[in-house]
This record gives sequence, structure tokens and C-alpha cells, in this order.
Amino acid sequence: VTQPTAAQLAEVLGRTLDEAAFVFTDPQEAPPPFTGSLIEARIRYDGPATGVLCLATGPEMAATLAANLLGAEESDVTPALRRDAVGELLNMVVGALVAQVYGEESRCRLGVPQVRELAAAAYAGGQAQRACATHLVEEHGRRIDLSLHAEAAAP
Amino acid sequence: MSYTILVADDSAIVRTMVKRAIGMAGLPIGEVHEAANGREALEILARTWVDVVFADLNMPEMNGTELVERMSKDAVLVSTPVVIVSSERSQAKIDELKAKGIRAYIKKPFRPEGFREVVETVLGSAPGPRERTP
Repeated sequence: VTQPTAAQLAEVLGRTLDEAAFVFTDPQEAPPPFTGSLIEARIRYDGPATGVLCLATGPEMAATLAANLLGAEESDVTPALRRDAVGELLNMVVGALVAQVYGEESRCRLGVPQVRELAAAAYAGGQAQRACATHLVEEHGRRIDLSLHAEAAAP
Repeated sequence: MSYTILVADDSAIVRTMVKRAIGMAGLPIGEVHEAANGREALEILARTWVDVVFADLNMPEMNGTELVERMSKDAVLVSTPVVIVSSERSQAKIDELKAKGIRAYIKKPFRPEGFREVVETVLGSAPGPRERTP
């Protein structure tokens, strides 16, 4: 059964960031490295195929996403809202992605996003098992990754 | 008179987005209650009259589908309009929920202007708050 491709990940993530959070991004083959801590969300889908999608970005980018989703100032965004924003955007991405890949007539059960904070080095290590990935970068050079893992690995 | 709303979603951000979209619809909205899952939503519905429920599907503890099923089996809550706000786009799932009695389905991400039409239709077809006995 077909799994999403890196191009589909990039298209759906870029569209979702644009429509939901007013953040405009471009895919990059060699994005700037993540440093410090990251916020990572994972969500499982079961349908024609099974997989786990992983969305990761830095806390500053997460604050921008949360502020734009809420129509609020970044200074008003709490750490909890940063994590919530990453989880919710992944929720939107997985719904759009499975509909695009498998069609709206297919049945696909979506999980609940699991969000955690982790060091950039730990994130890079976990990415070794990914099936495919896309790296998007916005106008200020901040990066957001979406990757597909073929096996369930919710934290 | 104004409408009482219940927003059930495990994401605080989405609850805020839904409240903002409803507010931008320009309708007379009074109290807005929030629940993080279906169980909390039922607890609020048991003690508070609500004119319309906006609920997510994928929530921990009790999901939106179970919430709709529980409401459909309740003599009082069966008449309370439910609007599902979800990222799921499966037409089969939407049809299944409509068969269970939901009034509308809004796909995430949503625009506030898209919300207005749905809110007006749902609240317009529902008995107004003055016509109801709590």
C-alpha cells in the first residue's frame, strides 16, 4: 500500500502552515541544523497503511505558530501553548495528508497527538529510522520538519 | 437573549480558535463553556443548558463519536445540536456521524468566515434560547 512521499509531506505541511498559521515556508534539502531544545509531536494513523507522523520545530517557531493560531502576541504564549500548537498543527496535517494520499472515501483512524520536548541531538538520532521527511524553512530561517515513520513509535 | 455554547476539544488552542470564530460570526453568544474531552462535556451538559455543542472527534478519555452517541441516547440532550470540528476528512466517517444526528461538520483548518455560515444555519434552525425551558 502506498505511503506518503516526501513531496506530499512538504506540500501538505506547507499548505497547512500557510492556511492555519499564516507562516510561509519553502522546502530545503540542506536546512539549518536544529540547536538546543525542540518540540516534537507524533501522531499515528491506521487506514490503508499505518504510520506515525512526526512534526518538530524549535520553541521560538512554535511560539510564532501558537500566536498566529490564536491571533495573540508571542509574548502571551506560554510553554504549554507552544506544545499545544505543534500538536494541533500535526493533527491538521495528518487529516489533510491521509485524505490526499488515500482519498476522502477511505477510512483512516487518527490518533491523538503526543507532544514532548527533547534535545536536538536526540531528535537527530531518532530520525535515523524515518521512512521519509521534509524540511521547511520560513522567511526568518526557522525550520520545521515533518517525517514519516513506518512503525508505531508514540512516546 | 444569547446562546450558550460548549466547546469540547483537548487542545486549548483549538478551543480558543473556535470561540474566536464564533465571536466573529456576530451572533448573540452568551456563556461559552469548555471541555477537554467527551466526559467533561457530558458533565457540563448534565448541569447546564447548552444551545449548541462544538466538539472534536479525537479526544482522550471519551472521543467525539462516543459523545454524540451518548447524547443521542439521552432524552434531553438528543435535541441539542452538535457540530463536529475535526481534521478527519473521511466522507464515510462524516456520513456515519450525520446518521448519528450531528448537524454539521467543519474541517480543520477552518476560516472564521466559514464558521459563520455553519453557526447561522445551526442556530437558525435550532429553537432560540427564549423558546426553551431549562
